[in-house]
Formats: sequence, structure tokens, C-alpha cells
Amino acid sequence: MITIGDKPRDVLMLIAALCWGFVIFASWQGALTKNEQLIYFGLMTMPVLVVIYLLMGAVVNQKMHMSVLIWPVLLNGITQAVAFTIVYMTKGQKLDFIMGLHPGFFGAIVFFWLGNFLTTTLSFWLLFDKKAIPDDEWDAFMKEVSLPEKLH
Amino acid sequence: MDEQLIQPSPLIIGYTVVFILVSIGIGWYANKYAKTAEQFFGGTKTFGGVVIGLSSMAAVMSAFGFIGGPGLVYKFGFTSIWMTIACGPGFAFGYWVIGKRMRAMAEVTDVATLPDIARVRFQSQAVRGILALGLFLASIAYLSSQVKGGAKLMNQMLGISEEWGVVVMFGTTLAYMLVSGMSGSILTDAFQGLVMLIGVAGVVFAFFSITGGDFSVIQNAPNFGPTFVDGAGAMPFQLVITFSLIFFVGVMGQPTMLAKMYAVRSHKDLKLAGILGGTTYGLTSLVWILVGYGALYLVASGQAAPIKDLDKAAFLFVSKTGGVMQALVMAALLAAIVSTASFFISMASGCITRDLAGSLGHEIAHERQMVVGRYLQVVVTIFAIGFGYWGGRAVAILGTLGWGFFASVTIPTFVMGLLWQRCSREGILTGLTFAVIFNVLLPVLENFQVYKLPFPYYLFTIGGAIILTTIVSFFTTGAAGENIPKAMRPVFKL
Repeated sequence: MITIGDKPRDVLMLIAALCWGFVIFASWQGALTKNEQLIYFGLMTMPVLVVIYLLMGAVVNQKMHMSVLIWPVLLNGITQAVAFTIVYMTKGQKLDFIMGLHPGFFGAIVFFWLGNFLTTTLSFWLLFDKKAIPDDEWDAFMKEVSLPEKLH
Repeated sequence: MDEQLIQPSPLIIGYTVVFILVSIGIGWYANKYAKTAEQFFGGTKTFGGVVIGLSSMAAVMSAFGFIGGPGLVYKFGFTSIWMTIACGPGFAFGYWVIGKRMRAMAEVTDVATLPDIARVRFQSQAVRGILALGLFLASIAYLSSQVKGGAKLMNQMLGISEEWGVVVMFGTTLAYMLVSGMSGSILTDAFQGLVMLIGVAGVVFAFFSITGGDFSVIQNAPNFGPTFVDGAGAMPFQLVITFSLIFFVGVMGQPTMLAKMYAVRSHKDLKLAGILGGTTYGLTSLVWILVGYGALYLVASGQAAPIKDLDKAAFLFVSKTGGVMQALVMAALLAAIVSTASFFISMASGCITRDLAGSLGHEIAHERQMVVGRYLQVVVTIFAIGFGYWGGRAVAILGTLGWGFFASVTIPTFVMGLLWQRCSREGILTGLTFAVIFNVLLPVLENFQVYKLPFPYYLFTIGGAIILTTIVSFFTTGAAGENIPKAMRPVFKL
């Protein structure tokens, strides 16, 4: 278990804001100067953002199970980074096909599309109710919010 | 009338009529789920995971995905596909990040619309009002953009004029929305989602029958080449950043998904809703990918002449399939449009009935809200049709409001607001104000050719709104930290 309390959330939100700033900068400056390497670095910021949001959301009472940290959180970031790297390295080149697909197309489909499904969606199926919203936590929440009058 | 690529056959017309009648029947049946304002405007705590999953997919996948997307693939190769391959797995990502907290808010307060949650979280009528205004504007823009696509589709399917096509399509939608509101929208969307999935099966079969899965023809064709089959496509490379990021992270900012998170009957239904929504959306992505590449293949292999109107790429591909396939795929296209339109009609009317009026100090009595909402559904629909047809330049400007606009106002409000106790009322007001102003200003500047960012402007507005919300929240305390209402604090423990 790792704890992601209020202070770490402040830091994570700050890092997320910096990442969004860098993504805008990389898109803007990369396009103006035709610097595709800078755009690639902008792309590689996305896995960081994804990991940050999962770190804050996939928790129970500010604690994250180690299994969730590995899968989906870190593996999701890794598969996205691999996909972007393959796409960048093979962009615009006439290459031998892999299973009937251009290597860039193959990388995007296998590592980004299927990779994301295997990380976020499959893990959601297998882990979400046990590690992110266990019944006892929900029951405790319902007891706390069972007010005679709802909040307005 | 446009060039007729599809010949309306008894099969297509018959399947369309059945589709319309079943949709109306389900919508009327859903009246039993629309007894309170919360159910009429939000379908709150009403449906199981299967219905919510299918309806989320159907509402998120719009005409753009089935008609505009393949057109972009035909013109630019893979670039636009990043939108759709990001979106499918983005469903589960969104449910991981804020699914349970959105559902939890329905236990803390009476939720019918998204601004209801924002008002309670930030204890602010201003936040509620600005968010409602933004959601209303973008809903109208979204609906207006469906009008022309739907009109063209009905023209191709039934051979009727575009004007009559709009009447049939929106008349059908209103026929059940007036009875059952958002509950009707959710239940019919689930049925329409199934129709879309049947169409996907038809597309996969047709694609491999026509092309044999051979992409090398496109790579070797003199008019195309490797940029049409690689993983980046022929659009500028920086667009891959925008499309992959905004359509993966941004799914959880779409009202079509956010509003479904509190429509599930129980927290246990979140799991099935997230899985089914994402995987079925992933299947419908095949239409975007295969129809686009199918059209490319037909032109690259010399089996069809090049097309100029990109919206015709989908119809070109479908025209090469058999009669049954045409019926299945065309009905799937219609389902994609109607399901998205019904959601936004309901949301726009709810935003005015409950939130805009309320934020200005004129709360409409709870028992009158459904009556007012029904009148406003008609007004919203007529306004969107009129705007879509005769809005001229304003349509071109506001028509770009949609996915990015929604994400720019909802990610700060709900994702940051429910994940971060320090997120303050002042921070959100700053972020929302920035988002609304720049989402209108930047497309105006683009349209009048004053200034154009070298990437889609909504990346700037989403990122800018998040950055401003973060900075201002660090220095202000309204409805943040210790100032969060005591009754809301259990949500942050989940």
C-alpha cells in the first residue's frame, strides 16, 4: 500500500499543471520550428499525466494497493510510451509490414489501443471493485452520508 | 439533393422504419423511469451497468465518428484514428479516476444535472451558472453539427430531401424525449448501441471481403504512399499529441459519460458500465478505421474515382457492399446520430430549466421542472435545427465547440474538484471563465483569419483552464480544504 494524502496531491496537481503547460509548449514551439523531437517529448508527457490522474483516482481512503500501482497505473504509462516511440521512429518511412501493417500502424494499434485496453479496461474488470471500491468502504461511506436532509 | 451513392431499397427503408418505431416504443416505455425531475433530467440512480455501458458508448460515438472520421482517414491516413483509439480505453480510465466519486455525489445531494454537483461541491451559484451556460452553448453547437450530417444520411437512406430528413430524424427523437427525458434517452441509446454493434459486424465483414486486409496497395499507390499507412498520418505531427491526449483523458470530461456515472442504480453497476462502455466503443472504432481505409483502398486500387467531399467517403465504402450490409450499416449511422442528439437535447433543456434559472435566483418549483423541461426540449431542438441550417458563419465557428469545450469546463470542475480538496471556488471560477471566453474567442479569430494556433485550440483552453485552476487554488480557500461542507467530506475518503 502507498499513501497519497493531501500534501502529495498538492504536488501531483502541480506536476500535472506543469505537464499541461509543457504539452502546449511542445505542440506550439514544435510546430513553429518544425522540431518533431520536441513534439515527441510532448507526446511522452501524456503517459506522465495519465499516471498522475490514476494515482489520485485509483485509491481507497487515500491508499493505493501495490497491485494497482503496477497494473494499471505504471503499465498504462509504459505501454503508451512504447507506442509513441514506435510511431515517432517509423513516421513517414516505407518499411516492411508486420502482420500486414506498417510498423507505425502496428505500434499504435497494438501498444496504444490494445495496450491501453489491457491495462485500464482489463484491470478495471479484475481489480476495480476489490481494490478501488470495496463494499465495506462503500457501506461506511453510506453510513456517513445518510443524512435526514441532503446537502444543497 | 446530393449525389445518390446509396440506392434506397425496401430493405433499407424497412429496417429504418422498424428502427424508428422500436426507438419510440422504448422511449415511451421509459416513462415509468421518469417520475421525478432527477430521473427526467438525469436518469439518476435508475439503470443497471449494461444499459449505462451501451448508452454511454452510443452517446459518445456520434455522426462524426461514423461519417466525419472515415472522411479524415481517407484524406489524411492514421492521424484522426488517434481520437478513436484513445477514446475506447479512456472509458475505463475515466471510471478508475472519478467514477465512484461521481456516483457518490448522488448520495450526498439531489443530482439531476452536472451543474447540480458543481454547485454543491463549490457552494456557488456562479460556478453553477457559468458551467450551465457553457454546457448549454456546447450542446446547441453539438446538436447543430448533427443536423447537416443527419440530413445527408436520411437523404442517402430514404431518398427524401434533406429538409424532410431533418424532420423525420428530430421528430422521432422528440417523440420519445418529450415523454421520458434523459431516462428515455438512456434506454433508447442502449438499444441504438446494439444497432450500432450489428452495423460494426457488417463493416468488418465487408472490409475484409472488399480489401482482403491488404494495406500495401495504399502504400504503393502513387497518390498515397507510406504516410497514409504509418502510425502518424499526413496531418501535422503535433496533432497526434492533441488527439491522443484529449481523447484519452478527455473522455472523462464528456457529459455523455460523466452524467452516466450517477445514473447507475448502485455503485456495483459502475464496473459493468465502465467495461461495456469502453469495449463496445472500441468495437465501433472499427467503423472509423475500416470504413476510412476501405474508401482509401477503393480509390488506391482504382476501383472507385477519388472523392472531394470527405463526408462521402463512408457512403462510397457502403455503396460497394450488398443490400443487407447497406441496411445494417446505414441504420448504425442513424443510431449514432439519434443517440447523441437525444442526450444533448435533454442536457440543454435541463441546464436552462434547473441551472441557469436557479443560478440567477429563479429556482423553478421542483414539481414544475418537468413541464418546463418538455417545452424547452422543443425550443432547443428547433433552435438547433435552425442554427444548423441557417447559422452560416456562426455554425462554422461554434460547430467546433464540442469535445474540447466540454473537457475544458468539466475536467477542472469534476476531476480536479473531486480529486483535490484544495481545489477552490475561486480557482474553478477562474478556470471556467477562461475556458468559456477562449473557447469562443479562438475559433472566432481562426474563422476571421486573424490568428490560428498551430494545433487545435481546445488543447490550449483545456490546458489553460487546468493550469489557472491549479495556480489560483493554491492561493485561495473558498469551498476548499477545511471550508468544504462537512457532509461532502466522506466523498474524498472513497
